[in-house]
Amino acid sequence: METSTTPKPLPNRPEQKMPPIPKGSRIQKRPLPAPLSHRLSSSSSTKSSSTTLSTTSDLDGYRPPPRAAHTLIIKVSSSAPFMSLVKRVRKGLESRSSLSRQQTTKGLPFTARIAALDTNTTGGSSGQGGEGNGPTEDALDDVVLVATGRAIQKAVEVGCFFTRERDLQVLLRTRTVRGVDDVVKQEEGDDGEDGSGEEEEEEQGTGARVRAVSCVEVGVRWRAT
Amino acid sequence: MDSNQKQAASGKPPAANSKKRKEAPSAATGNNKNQNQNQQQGKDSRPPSSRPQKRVKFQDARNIRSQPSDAALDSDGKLDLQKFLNAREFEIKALETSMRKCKAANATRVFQQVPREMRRRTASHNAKRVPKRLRDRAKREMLEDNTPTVESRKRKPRTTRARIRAENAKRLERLAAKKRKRALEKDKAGEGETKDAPGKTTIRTRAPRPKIRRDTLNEPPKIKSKFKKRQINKTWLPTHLWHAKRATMTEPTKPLWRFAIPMTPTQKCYRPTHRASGQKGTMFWDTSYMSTARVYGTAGGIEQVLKALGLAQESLWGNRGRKWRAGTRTWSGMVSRQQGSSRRDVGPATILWNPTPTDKTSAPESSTAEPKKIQRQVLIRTHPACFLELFEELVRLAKLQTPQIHVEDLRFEIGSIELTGPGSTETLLAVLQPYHTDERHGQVFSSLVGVTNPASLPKDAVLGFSVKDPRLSYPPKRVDTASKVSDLALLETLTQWPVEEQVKPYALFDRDVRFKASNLPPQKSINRRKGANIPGREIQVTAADPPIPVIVFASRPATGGQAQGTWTLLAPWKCILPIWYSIVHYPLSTGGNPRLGGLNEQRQIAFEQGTAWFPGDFLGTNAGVVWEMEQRAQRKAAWDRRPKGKRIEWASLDLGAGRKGEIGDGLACDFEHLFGLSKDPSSSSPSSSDSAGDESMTLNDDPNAMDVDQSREEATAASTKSGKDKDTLPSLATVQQMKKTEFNALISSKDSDSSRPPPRSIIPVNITFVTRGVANACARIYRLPSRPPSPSATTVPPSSTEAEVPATDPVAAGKVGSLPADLRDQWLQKLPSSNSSSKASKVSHAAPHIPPNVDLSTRKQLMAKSLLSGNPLPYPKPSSVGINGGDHPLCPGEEDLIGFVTAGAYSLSEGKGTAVGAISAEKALDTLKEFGAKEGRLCVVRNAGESVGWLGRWEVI
Repeated sequence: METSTTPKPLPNRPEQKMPPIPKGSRIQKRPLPAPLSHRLSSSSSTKSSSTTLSTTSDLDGYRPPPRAAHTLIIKVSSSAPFMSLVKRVRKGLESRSSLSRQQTTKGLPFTARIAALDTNTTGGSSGQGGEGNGPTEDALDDVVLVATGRAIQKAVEVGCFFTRERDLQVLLRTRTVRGVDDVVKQEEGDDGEDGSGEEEEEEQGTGARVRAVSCVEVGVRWRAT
Repeated sequence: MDSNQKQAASGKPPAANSKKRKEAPSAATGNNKNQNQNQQQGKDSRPPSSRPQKRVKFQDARNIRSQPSDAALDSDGKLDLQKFLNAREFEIKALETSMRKCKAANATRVFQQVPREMRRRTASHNAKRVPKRLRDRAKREMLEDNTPTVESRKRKPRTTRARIRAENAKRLERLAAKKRKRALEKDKAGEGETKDAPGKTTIRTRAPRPKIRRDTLNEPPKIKSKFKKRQINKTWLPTHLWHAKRATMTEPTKPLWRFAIPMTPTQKCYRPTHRASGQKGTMFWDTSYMSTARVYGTAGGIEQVLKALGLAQESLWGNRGRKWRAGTRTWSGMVSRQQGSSRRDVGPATILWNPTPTDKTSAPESSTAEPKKIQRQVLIRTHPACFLELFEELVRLAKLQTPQIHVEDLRFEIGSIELTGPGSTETLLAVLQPYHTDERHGQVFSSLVGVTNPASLPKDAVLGFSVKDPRLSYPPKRVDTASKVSDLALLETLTQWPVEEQVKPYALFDRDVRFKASNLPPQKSINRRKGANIPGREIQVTAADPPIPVIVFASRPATGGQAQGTWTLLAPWKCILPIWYSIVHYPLSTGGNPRLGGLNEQRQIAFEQGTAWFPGDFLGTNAGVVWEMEQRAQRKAAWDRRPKGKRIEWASLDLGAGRKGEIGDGLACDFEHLFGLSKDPSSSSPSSSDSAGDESMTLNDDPNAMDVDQSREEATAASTKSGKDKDTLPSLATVQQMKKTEFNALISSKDSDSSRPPPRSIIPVNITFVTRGVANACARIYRLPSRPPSPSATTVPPSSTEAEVPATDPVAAGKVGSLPADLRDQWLQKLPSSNSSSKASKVSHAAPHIPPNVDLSTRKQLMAKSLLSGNPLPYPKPSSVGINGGDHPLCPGEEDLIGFVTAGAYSLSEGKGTAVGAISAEKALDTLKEFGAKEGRLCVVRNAGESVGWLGRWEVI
């Protein structure tokens, strides 16, 4: 990679472009890698520090937060109905409400509970303003909507929908993920279906290339009360 | 106690010896039974009747404890808030526990706690069936409730057959006891001898390898005599015993393709299957019934054979197929054989070359003459429904080559497991641990951590390596996705796919390696080693653990896109079971375990991905024809079972415009009718039900004929019989399947007359309904009727509709000719873009919408107004197919029938009805040429026996 002294090129404006695909070829997209590639390992809290280190950064150096084990991840497709997404998020939140809420005051003595009540109300209001509490804070999302491409709009819409609810907190993060494309022969779209094992000719290299895709993550969580 | 001793003295019965179940529970139950008997006599410490005890328990459960509120007051009368709250908390908890306990104490028995998926363990009258942790309680409850128990072993046989069996068993038991006794005596004598001669050398012989004969079919593996009788006309999968408890298998007397195949899990699983295959989780199948054959000989000869099987594409044998020929990619597609002047599809096959060592491949690549002489091997994996056909063709072709190449039937040598779903890679990674750390393919495989879709691998990627016995690391541990090196490295692997260098021949091709792997150490020794091991540490691999050669390959769905691909794992037949157990119990990172699938689930997933499933959706192959005939017979049987008033009377179906009767046979995808093929001599009019019955009865024999043909004895003589076989196949077998490429070429070619599809050719299509509608199997597919030329609008329809109206129905004949001329426009109006106008017209019929925020009086007024003013709905409701009366357009005439649906349902992935079917290539081409690519793909789909059709759009698959 680059050394730290030279300014890093932006991922959407790289220093050298990918070579144009050879004539008579076209791009065939492979399925995108899963958004849940970096879960927090749920085994132990002591391990979590090492796992945060091992999570890989994005193309632009952004290190996505590790996710808690209970986080529900919903992949948004552009054709998904809006209300269906809302319902799925709601369902996920409902099942996780007891989990995240109880953890705060469970088993505490009375005075501690009252104290916690105070801090939570203040913390909730402050949390609305600044959310730069770092990756460990980000990991506490109850539900995460992940969307790329045309589906970004839909995910953001759903996120906006949930900002109306007072006891929910919505966070939006942008990311860059990478997908793999196959470079295949043009006519192969026809005979590819009948299963010929086609491959790109040798002079074009391996016939696969990496592409950067914009991605949006909308995290929805219960406001801590 | 004394009876126990007696049991011990008499020795274990032979049946108990062979049972897998451990001794402990049965001994315990025996003990307990004695106790029970003692109790009956009133000697035991337990109360003779536990009813009072139960009442006490019940009362105790109903009792809610509370605390008087003045306890929270201090001595000076002040309220201690903390104490008070604690008391209330306690009370609430007491209430809740009492509610819970009450429910439990009241009616539930312990077997009701058993989760639903352990269904066979929920028997109320047999404590032994309940899981072990609940068994004691179950026994107690049975005692308390005085549940009558029956021990099946001691039940008096009721039928003659059962009596004979019981007698036989008794006799066998006696015989076995005698034999055992003799063996014991002999053993004792033998021991004495060995003590006498310690220096005597013993000769150890190698365990016999199973015979693999070349160019003929092989015998199924040697069966344990205990299970022999159940496998007379079929073979069990390696995981049969596991499956038989958890899935609906094929009927014992009606095996599918000579295998006992799990059809569907006993648990309801339609929607879970959809989820596990697409969103979260894994589906897995034991596909050991898939047949493999190995072809070996010179490279040139193999090439000729494969070309004769229809692999004639330039891309395979040129530079682009280099990787396939090197053995690092598979090819999968339809293979075909020459039949007269045309080719006929046999079925789908996956073909894999065995790589030659790298140092060799690099050299001969330069010269073209030399590599033709190299000895190469090819693995052909195909469906059992078409295996015999393919094998015969292979043998025939192989004999034509000089020097001759040979074919080996590896059906019962190589088994396979298929997995699909986001967790499939993870599951395989946990189960398959490379045996040698320096194997290139093993390293690549281990680096796939984080892949959630097999389709994201390079197309048709193959990895061949050796793995450890999965029982050594049983139970499988969750793969730690966090420990993955980096996303970048994974992307690098996926793009570069560095498997070409240091490629070695796949060990699975080697008969000796397979055989060695089949001799895995027994479970007993593994358990012993586990016991000696430090807890929590994995058992080390020793020399006794042979490496298991496996080949895994990923395949993409035919539709492409984001759909999930499939992993296929090939391993020696006998190693499937240990691998299977590990897969079953793998804890997925998204929760749960992999889900079991049967044949129906495989079809469901293919359907949801919009692809055709072999053999059901391939009517252009012999296997597909046999499947269709079987289905017809089944539907006919189901139809016959129904009472007369409740089954569809095909002849009286009203299609509107005076058309009566179903087109063709309502219980069949009646391509015979569509192409005007002759059916069996008995049937003349296809719409009458009894003739259809005759037909299906006669056709019913065909699958059996195939079965007989497939038996080992006649396998060698099969080539002579194949001609006769063709005759027994029904006329449906003359229908040909057209390839998508050929069809697309026809569409794009400009001159219409020069290139016509061959007659009686069909193309498989995927149909999506435009607005609503769900198709079933056998649904009829129509194209949209063409607009009649304006002057002769009245004359055209009668001639066309006459054909399908039974001549015996004079009433129908009189009404002929009332199909509206603008039927096409009516159907086109159903397209959603032009839907607004029809909606507006509908609104006037409906009751006026009452605005939400009006008071009661206005509401009443509005209601009354709507009741008085609106013209009442006619009764009975006019049928939608009434003569121009209904709002739904009529079904097109029979001349517009183009095909049939082979599988249809509401698709969970699309959120609306979809269907897979086949349509006549000729008619489809005509429509496309006439109305263009967009409008030409519109069709009307009508379920058999229904009069309403729905608008759909077809796509060639």
